Amino acid sequence: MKKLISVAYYTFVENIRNKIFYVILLFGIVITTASLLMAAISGQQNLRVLLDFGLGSIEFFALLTVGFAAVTLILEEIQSKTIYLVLTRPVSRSTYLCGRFIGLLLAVFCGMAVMAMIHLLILFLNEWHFTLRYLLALGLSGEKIMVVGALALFFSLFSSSAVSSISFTVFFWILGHFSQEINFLANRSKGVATKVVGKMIYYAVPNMQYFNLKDFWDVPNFLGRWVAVSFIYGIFYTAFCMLLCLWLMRYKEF
Amino acid sequence: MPKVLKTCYIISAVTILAISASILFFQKEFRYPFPAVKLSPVSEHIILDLTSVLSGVRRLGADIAWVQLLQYYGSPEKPVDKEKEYELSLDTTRHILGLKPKEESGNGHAENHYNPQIAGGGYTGFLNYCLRIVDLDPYFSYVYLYGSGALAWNLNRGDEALVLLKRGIESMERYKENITSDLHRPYWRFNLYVSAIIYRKRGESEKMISLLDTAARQPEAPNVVKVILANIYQNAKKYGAALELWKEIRQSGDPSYFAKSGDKIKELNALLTQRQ
Repeated sequence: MKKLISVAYYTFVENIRNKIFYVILLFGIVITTASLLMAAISGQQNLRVLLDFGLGSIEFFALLTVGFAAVTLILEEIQSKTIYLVLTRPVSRSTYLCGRFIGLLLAVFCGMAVMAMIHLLILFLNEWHFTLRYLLALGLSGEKIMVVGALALFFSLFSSSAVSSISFTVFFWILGHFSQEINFLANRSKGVATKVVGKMIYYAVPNMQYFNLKDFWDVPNFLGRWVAVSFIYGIFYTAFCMLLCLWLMRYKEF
Repeated sequence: MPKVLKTCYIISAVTILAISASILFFQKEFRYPFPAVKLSPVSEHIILDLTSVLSGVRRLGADIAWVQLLQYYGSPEKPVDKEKEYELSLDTTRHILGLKPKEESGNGHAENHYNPQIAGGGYTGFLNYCLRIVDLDPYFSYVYLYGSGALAWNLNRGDEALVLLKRGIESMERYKENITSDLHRPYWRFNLYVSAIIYRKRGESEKMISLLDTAARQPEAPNVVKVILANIYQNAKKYGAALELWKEIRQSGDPSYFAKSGDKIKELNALLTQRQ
């Protein structure tokens, strides 16, 4: 456990120093400028626009950070040979992999928390009334980021190329948001092969709509038990991806 | 079989079971609240709308479409000469940056909504712009109210306003089993607007005004409806009622109506003083 914490800690510090700070700075500038413009051009809907713009930006910047950082999380260490420094010590491959992933997630979540604070500050300055739904939407965005991070790590170990890993991750991100439509098309399809392929994609690809509470904000009476299950689904999907990563890592030759 | 491998297999089996159980639960409890994706009715924005759906930001896409609707409705349809265009863009920029007192910025693009010149026609794509927004987010109830108000009273296209309101009522009815107090508000308001438009078509002004008055008193009533009602009151020489509405509009802080409301308050105060 101590080894896991050590690996996670140095990954956290490494990421904070390298990427997260700049992302937050960029977010701060974007959201502040956008809030001034949005208030001027969206008429009576300025609060709605401000809320959506902020939550969307938090998720987008977190996705950018986790996507690029997870893909290079192990690949860079292999290319620079620094992985030997860790693995030649009594640190197992699984401890190393989990530690790196946890450290990365902590760094991205810290970034999201700071971005959310900037966003909330701007919302409160515009006389927005706080609701618990905001924290739930943010939490589910975090789950989405966790799943995407695990997928990006899996693809990076699987393909050993940063570009193809990022492409696969983005492809899964889009498929994940499109899975309801894929299911709809599969149900409508008359061909058995199309139906089977559609259903396979629907069940295998993580359904990102389960984490998309920010899009269901105005849907009446929509908060339900499924929100709690979404958290469980995200955690287990990530765990499954990590198991696949461990399996790949076990046979990886450096 | 090594112990570590055995543990891995057990954990894998547990995670697969948990994921399967979650999916089964979602199939029972989770109902995706949006209709299937269809192509945007505004052809030049198809890619933007599809991107917002595919990247899971439907609401943000609807917000961008909303701002584009305001820009469309706020910009003059007829081409203006270069000098006038320069003046308008400069005024708008000054207004956004707060460089010019808002009361003085009387020629900004945003204020063209209320220009009597555009009443009676024009902006043929207005309904499509509204439908584009509600295709992305059918629960953006303000769009139905704003759009139908502008179509029926500013652009004199009551039938198109009814098409938009019908879509709103259908969107809310689709989830009738989920009716709560939150849902009732937009739902009955749409019906109120439908009735007001039908009274207008029949020429029953008194009944229409009474319904519009109820609609304008609601907390989230669009300013466009309040402006329409205030103008009706002013034409009927009910200056007191018109003044109250313009004061409400000014208090809302909506920048596109701020300058206009200032002028109107002065004008109505003068008319009231004259009458006394």
